[in-house]
Amino acid sequence: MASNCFNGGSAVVNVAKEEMIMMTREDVIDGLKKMLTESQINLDPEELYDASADRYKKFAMAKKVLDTPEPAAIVYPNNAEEVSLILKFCNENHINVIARSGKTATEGGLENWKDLAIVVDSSNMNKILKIDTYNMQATVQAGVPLQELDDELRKLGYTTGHSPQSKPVAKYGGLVSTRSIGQFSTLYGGIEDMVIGLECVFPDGHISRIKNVSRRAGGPDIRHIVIGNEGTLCYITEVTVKIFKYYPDNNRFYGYLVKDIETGIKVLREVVVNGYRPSVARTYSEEDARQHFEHFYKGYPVLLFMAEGPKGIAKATGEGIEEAVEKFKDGIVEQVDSKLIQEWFEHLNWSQKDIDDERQGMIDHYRHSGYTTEISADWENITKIYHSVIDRIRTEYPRVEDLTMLGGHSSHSYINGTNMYFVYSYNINCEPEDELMIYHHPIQQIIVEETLRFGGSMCHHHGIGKYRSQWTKEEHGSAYYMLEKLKEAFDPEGIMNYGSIFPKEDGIKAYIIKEQ
Amino acid sequence: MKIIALVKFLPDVDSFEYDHEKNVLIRNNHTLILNADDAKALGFALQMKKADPSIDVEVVTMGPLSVTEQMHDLIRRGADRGTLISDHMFAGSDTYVTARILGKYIRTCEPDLILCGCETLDGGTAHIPAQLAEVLDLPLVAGIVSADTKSLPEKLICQVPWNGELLTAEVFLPAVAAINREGAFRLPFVRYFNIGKDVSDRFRVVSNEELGFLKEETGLAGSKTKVARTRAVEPEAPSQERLVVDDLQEGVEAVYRFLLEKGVLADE
Repeated sequence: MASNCFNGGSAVVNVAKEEMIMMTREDVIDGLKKMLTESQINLDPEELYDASADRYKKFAMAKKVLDTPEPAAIVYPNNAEEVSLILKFCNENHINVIARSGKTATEGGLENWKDLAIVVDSSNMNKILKIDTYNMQATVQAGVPLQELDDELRKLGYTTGHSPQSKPVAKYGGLVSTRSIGQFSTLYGGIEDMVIGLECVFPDGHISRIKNVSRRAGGPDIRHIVIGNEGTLCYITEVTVKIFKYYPDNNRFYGYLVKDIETGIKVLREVVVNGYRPSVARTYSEEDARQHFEHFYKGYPVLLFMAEGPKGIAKATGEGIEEAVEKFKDGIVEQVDSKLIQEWFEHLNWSQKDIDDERQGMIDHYRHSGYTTEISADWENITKIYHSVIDRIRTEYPRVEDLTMLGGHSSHSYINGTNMYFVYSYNINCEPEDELMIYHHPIQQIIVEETLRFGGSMCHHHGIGKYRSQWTKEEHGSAYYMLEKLKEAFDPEGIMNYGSIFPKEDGIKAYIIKEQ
Repeated sequence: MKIIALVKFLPDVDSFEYDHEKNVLIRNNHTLILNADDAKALGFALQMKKADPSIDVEVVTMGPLSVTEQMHDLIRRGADRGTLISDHMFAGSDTYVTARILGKYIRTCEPDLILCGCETLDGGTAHIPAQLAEVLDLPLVAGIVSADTKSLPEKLICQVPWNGELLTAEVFLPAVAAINREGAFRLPFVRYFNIGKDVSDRFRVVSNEELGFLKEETGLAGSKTKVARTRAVEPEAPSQERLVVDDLQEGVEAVYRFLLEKGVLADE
């Protein structure tokens, strides 16, 4: 019903279909003012433009050619009760809700596809509620930056164990809602392994709290309805995560140049299946290695590890790495000075300044951009996918001459497989409005198609967002039924992040393939 | 409002050939590229059209039939139509004859504004804008780097560098306006939905059959100027200097001095 009722910034106010009253943006703002103070409602035009998309459309955004509708307002609730009021109001009036926290989304998850929408930003819910070092857990509100919690924990000798590249910027609401993963995941796991309990609000205003226990068997694990929902089912207001003891003095670094990416993947597998859990375990293709390790890569793929934890475990992990390397020594070109790996490790993350600099660069200097697409598969298929993708891009992609970089790396390994992070950048020889259709989309499409063909998952840790929603059904197969039923149950009016995860043909035509 | 954007396709420097007996460029069967000044002129025309879609932009060139696909590409970039003036009789024409040929065609179109580049990379004479204005008996403003279009279609207000300053010039239309290579205009790319689009119905070739020049009026025979002599100029190799230092600080200072000298860094 909702999509048929919207017309030029107006929408239906009442759920009763026979009594449809058109709601305007002004009506929405007036409604919000009844629930929130003025300081909690942001109507700044620049901020609203910025809130209509995310880093997926970073070039178009920088060039001021975004075609996605601006939200009517950005609101900053102070607690779950205010979130409840806001969602209930939106639910009753068919207002699209975009849940936002750290703004580091890269897949269109923060992009708005509706004429009538608001962004619910978690910035005011920014308190660390409890750090419990005896029970090894910390509770934070959704707007707490990961860096802030980790800094507090480090003062006490603990860590979150979570370290995505966006760590200095990302906040807990977004980390949980996108099923984020950190660079030390092989040891600590993804966010889904860290979340103990949480609080979230559903579109009908209901507030749910999932309690914090060490384990449970009370039916299906309902945390996973919330973790990774990308703001399409509910709004996360509070999270409790595991914490870990921090042993930085025991860190050991290992680096190798390898003959080919297969060798690197084989060594990763050997280490992991033998039961070792290095915090960092990566293999870079030679092209990707050039970006990060130009000073020592010598034209070869790079394999690297970091072992951490208590002294004995770090030592044993290091020995396990050396054993695995020895087993595949025919594929090892040479060992790299561990100090070089340590130096790289200490400069891994990007900050808000890096994001701002990238945007300013796009404004000032027409024209270069780059993206990553992250997938996963079992050990047997990961390199098949890698080569298949690279071959197809090199032979099929019509703008291959504009590519300035095409490669990838594996950076998160599991007992049964690993991920592949495809990395590509290009000179933009087109209008900014067409950049994604000419460059990113065809490349990403090849990556998704090949991954699904070999039985992998099309998204490892960025979330589905908007563009990849076209393949959500294929990703899940017969299990899509379960996903669909969740949406029907928790968001029957379809107000939560319209177009993310769940494919919406009208939005795909208007804002992705831009059908004329 | 109707705009004609004149463009010229030049031999690519990598496939440059010259007929030393006739002293003319061999244009057929070689890669030709769009002259940089003309790209800016067409960019300005399309910028105006983007702001006011009712403006009609016709891109016109004179050259061999081999530029047909490149003309199609310019239509895909946003021009309403393209016209290629091509006839074997026109080969070897100097700027005087070229201006007469262009002028005869343009007169039939009755444009409000004729945009072109100031000069071409191959000739560099900058004759055409002035000669064309003379042929058409229109005012000329040349060297435009930016423009204000708010007074269109009555007049064009534009900025022209002059003795180290930027002059504002106003010219009543119809007129010929020549755009400087440094102009603040950008030739747009072909939009996604126009890539590979068939635009042949918006392109035509005009030959001497339509223009009706006598044989002795065009080509080498009609040209008032002759190339007396040509010589190949080898580009100078860029100078290189290798400086090896033992001390890091000394190295940093050497690089700093070098960047200062080259103007990359400003002296405090």
